[in-house]
Amino acid sequence: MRLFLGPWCVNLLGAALVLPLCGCISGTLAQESRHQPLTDEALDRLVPGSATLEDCLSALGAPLQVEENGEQTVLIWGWRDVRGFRVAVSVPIGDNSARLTWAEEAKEMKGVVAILGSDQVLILLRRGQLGEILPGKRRASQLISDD
Amino acid sequence: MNKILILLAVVLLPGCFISRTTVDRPLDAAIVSALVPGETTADGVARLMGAPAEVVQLGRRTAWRYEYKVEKQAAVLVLVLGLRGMDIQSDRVWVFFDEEQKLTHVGSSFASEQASYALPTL
Repeated sequence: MRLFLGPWCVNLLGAALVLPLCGCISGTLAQESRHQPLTDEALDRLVPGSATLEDCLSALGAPLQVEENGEQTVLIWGWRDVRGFRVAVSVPIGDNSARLTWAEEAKEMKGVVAILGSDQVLILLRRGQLGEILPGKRRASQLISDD
Repeated sequence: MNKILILLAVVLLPGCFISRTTVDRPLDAAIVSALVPGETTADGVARLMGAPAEVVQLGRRTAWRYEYKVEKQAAVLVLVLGLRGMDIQSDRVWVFFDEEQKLTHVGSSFASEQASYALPTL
């Protein structure tokens, strides 16, 4: 039996062979780890209303980020440990950097946010996806009254 | 026959890489332990540890960040299927100063040596 391939079929087959070989299409099993997760045991030692900045630092170590939010100090710890399979199609279109900014990176992380008052006493400790628990500059009071 | 063998070799030869990227200088735990809250000043911290990576204003107080980041990546690519692992760990120190630029608090974490080249397992 003879198989006849038309010109369009040959072009399609050619593209199907050439694109993967150029690195434009790839499937990757990827694993990504960033920073060390905090333990529940360490977090449970911090009680809002009594724990201080010193307690937070000695229990949880150095945060990834420290921010000012009005008169409050916000300490942020984050980590990421994910793996998954992805198929990527890429075409180089310029000199774009693959580096993420802190804000972009933080959205993808699990983490802990500690909010301390002007007296350096812990007001609030939140755990979860950083993209959801990070206080916005104007949302801090809402965030605190939520809990 | 030779052409087919060469083509197969080119197509099937695996592509792989490992990379190690660092950001800033390693931090010395001994120097960090020499910082004394209530005694060391901002000038003293700068003399011992150099310029911070970041300065955050906290009202009249300030906090400085020092960080040494290590990123290790490893990947193996066979044809269009690949395994890729990335691990980012860092040594971090935050020092807090009062309005008179005297050290009040120090927080440190040292994990850069835990960064690894691990690939995901199937």
